Amino acid sequence: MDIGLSCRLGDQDAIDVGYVRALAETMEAVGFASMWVPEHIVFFSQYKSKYPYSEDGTPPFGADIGLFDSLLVFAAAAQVTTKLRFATSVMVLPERPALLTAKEVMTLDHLTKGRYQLGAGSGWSQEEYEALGTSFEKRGKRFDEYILAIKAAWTQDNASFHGEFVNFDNVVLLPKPYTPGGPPFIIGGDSDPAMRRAATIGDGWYSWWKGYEIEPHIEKFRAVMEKHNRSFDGYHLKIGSPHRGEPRKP
Amino acid sequence: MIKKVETVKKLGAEEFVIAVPVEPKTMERDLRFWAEAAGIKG
Repeated sequence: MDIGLSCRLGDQDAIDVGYVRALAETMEAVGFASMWVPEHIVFFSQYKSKYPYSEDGTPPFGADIGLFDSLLVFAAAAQVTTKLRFATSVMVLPERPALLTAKEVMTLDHLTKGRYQLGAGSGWSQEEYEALGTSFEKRGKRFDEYILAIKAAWTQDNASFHGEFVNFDNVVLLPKPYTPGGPPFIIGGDSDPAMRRAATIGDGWYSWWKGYEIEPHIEKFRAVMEKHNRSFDGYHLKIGSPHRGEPRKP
Repeated sequence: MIKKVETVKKLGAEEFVIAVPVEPKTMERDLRFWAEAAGIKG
């Protein structure tokens, strides 16, 4: 089993490209398999939205957090590594334009020579959606459409897609991704809709182990996979977890 | 940490992603520490 590391870059001292490159090089040298970088496009000093991974719904960060765009971080990190994989943990996909994202991720797929996996989720911050001019209410349906539309643009010569949120005909997006079919969609989120999405149109699932027992949670997901006749063969099952409990060496 | 790693391994995951403190000033030392804690054979 591979061990990946979630990194926050763009905050305090971690803001120059030299550090990004040194971090990636060292991660690869000591044996980490992948670098994961979270995504929020903007933050707020106060939220009405409930953060799903804390007991009182308060996010564990303030508005003063710095965070680089993950795709650009990976473009820099890929230049000094050869094996380290990259994943966004997770891109709030429905906030972004679908075809622009298809283009950016296709480009990163080439720059990394197939080492990027598209961690994607529907997010939780209504404030962020509204600031970006996108409806929060139908984010799940938008998310489903985006995945299918992006895959269409990556795989069809003259791509067409018709949905409630995305509509295009005879779109040409070249070059096609370095990875045949495009980088895998690793669906993040522990809600029932996230599990359903991961089991139906996702290529993998990223569960965040915090505040619940992991074994029954994974069993629940296995049942969802079975319900949708989805096999785990070739499927990307990822589990992430925060960890603070280890005594540090001096 | 290693208990978490073993638990996730038994569940059949292909990857376990850890979110741990890594400070820029002690980055290399921190990475080696957490790699060892997670059982990575470097």
